[in-house]
Amino acid sequence: MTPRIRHFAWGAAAVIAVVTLVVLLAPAPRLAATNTRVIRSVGGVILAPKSERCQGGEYVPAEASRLQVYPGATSGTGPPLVVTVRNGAGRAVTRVRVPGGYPLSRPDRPAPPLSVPLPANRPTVELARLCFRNAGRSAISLAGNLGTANPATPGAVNGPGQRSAEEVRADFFLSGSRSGLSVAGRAVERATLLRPGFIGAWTIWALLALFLGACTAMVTWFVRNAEREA
Amino acid sequence: MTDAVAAPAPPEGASAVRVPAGASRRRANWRRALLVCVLVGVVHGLVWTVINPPMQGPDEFTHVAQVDAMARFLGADRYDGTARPSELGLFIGGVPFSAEGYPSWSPDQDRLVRDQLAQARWWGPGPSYGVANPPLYYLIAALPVRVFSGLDLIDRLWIMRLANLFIFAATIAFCFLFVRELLPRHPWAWTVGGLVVALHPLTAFMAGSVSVDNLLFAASAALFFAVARAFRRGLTVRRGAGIGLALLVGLLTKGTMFGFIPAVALAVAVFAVRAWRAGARRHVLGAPAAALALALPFWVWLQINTQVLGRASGGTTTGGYSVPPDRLEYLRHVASYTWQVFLPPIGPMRDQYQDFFATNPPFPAFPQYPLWETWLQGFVGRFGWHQFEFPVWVNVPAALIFLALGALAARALWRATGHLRRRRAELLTYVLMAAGVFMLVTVAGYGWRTSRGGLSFEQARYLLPLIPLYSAVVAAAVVGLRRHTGLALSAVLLVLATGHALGAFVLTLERYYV
Repeated sequence: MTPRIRHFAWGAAAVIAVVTLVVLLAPAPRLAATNTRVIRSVGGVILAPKSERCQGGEYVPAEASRLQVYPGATSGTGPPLVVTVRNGAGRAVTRVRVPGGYPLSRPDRPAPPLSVPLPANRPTVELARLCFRNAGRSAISLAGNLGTANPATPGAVNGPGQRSAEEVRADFFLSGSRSGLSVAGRAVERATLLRPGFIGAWTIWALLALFLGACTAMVTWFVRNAEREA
Repeated sequence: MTDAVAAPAPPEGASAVRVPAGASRRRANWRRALLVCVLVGVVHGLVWTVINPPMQGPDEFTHVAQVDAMARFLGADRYDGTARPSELGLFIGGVPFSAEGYPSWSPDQDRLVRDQLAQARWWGPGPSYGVANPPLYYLIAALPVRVFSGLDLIDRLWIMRLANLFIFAATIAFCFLFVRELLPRHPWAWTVGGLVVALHPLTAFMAGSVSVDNLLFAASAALFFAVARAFRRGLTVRRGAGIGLALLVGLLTKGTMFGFIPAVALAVAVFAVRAWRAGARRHVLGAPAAALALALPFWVWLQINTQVLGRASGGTTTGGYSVPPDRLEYLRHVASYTWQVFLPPIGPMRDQYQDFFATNPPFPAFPQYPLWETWLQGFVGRFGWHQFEFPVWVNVPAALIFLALGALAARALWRATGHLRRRRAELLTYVLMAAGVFMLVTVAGYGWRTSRGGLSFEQARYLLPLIPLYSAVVAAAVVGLRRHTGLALSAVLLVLATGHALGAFVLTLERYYV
């Protein structure tokens, strides 16, 4: 007996569903926020000994469990650092001391990024000032957020509240590894920003459902006609 | 079935196919099928208008600036002398824009940008480098923007994107109608041809971005349809004018359309000679109708462009590129380059891809294998500013599916050789149309690379004017099989195309928001 056309369609749909689930359930470290405008930074921001550098316009969500920066120098290990997050009123909301001795990237020997754990139960700080103080005796450079290692891409810009020059690249991560499915709600929420006012998360979910519904109806209609034709 | 692809060609000059019994029911059926294709495509494009972050279509902010400038021109808005920051500049800084980075995830920054835009409302930087393009797309997109000029740029950008959906609908419809002309005996294949375009992620992504390319794709699809119709039903004055009009719309949108002219001119000449020999003198008039419909309005535009607007005609006619004095040497390089845009160098060819980005070791030279990286991966889906694509485990099977469909289509053509003998001129025309676009893209690419120190130029979207051929290849592939197998494969392809489109949404949300 010749299999019916709908069986082929169902088979293909099952394969798509399984692949989608496998992709969405794969765990990986997930960003909570970042100020980077590039995939791979070149150059960086020099932090002289006993100096502090602050940058504005940062988004530091409460759910971020760690801050990742990319220190480098020509020699030695990393000096002690103090990382401070200040709110709009200038009050320090979070302050973390990082002991020295962490590895530094060199041109000929890349090192892993520096992960700075953030305390729990912090409030979300929007348009924050993020400060880095070098408490050591040697200078380091922290990778920037604008200079790209890819010459093919157009220039990048910082957002309002930030300087137009290079800032320290600050990647904030959620705790542990998370599946794509578990962060899907966050992703859709983020995708509603800088969109027309009426667009909320519900709009995006509704549009995705509409597309899936339209395609399901289309395939059903096609299969029904095809079985009649066959 | 040896006649799977070929339809019997009607006598030259015949103006209509015979209308069989039950024609009205069949007409209703194909119109319903056309509607299904268009609706699926419009919903697909609608999702892209929302999930693609602002300004993340290729060159999007330049096109947005140009549409806004056109809208201000239509409303005769004049600069009132007040010093204000540029609305577009604030928006780009507020997103903030970068090809590689992330848009802001901060709700406070969203509010801040909106407040700033409210202060700078309706004040732009003026025409952008998009001004090099002819004005038709900008004019069409500016009409709704003019109506909603009271909205801020975030809202207006979405209005511009929405306007594209009508153009995307036209592209899908013309692809459907093109396949209908090619394969009139296989109505279900028309649906397949229309739906593979409606569900193609790169085409829908472009439809969800502000870009002149959208109108170019629609004009190209209309041209393929008009040429196919003329081949199948004869070139009347109306059909000739249709060919000229489709070319005109394309030429008033983007210079890529020039690539079609040699092939279409040849086809129209063939129509005229055939009609003359067959004694159908009335149909000879189709050729001048095509020429007139194209040349007269285009000449008027060139006059306005140079005499009224005071712009160089080169922006419309040559894209700003010129041939250097040593033409033979230039042609040798262009020929070598054109070969290498698809295949590795052979014989005495100088390797055109050897040195690109060699001085920037963190990023490998791109593309090292243009056929794979630029064209196949790009066609499967490369989004943003030509910046991110599907992973290899998607690209490899997708490319294999495309190649298998191409092989099936070739097999169908081969098996229908006897019937296709009468349609050689038509097939040759499509091949020449494709070759013309390829050549134009590679000539422009060569000019770009030589003037910009080797920066990559070619993108798969540049070949989307040939999207009707994609729909025809898929349709030919499935009708070349046994009926049941072809229908089953079609159903599977439509499910896979849906999965492909959903995968592109996930990829994009993950790229910008995870």
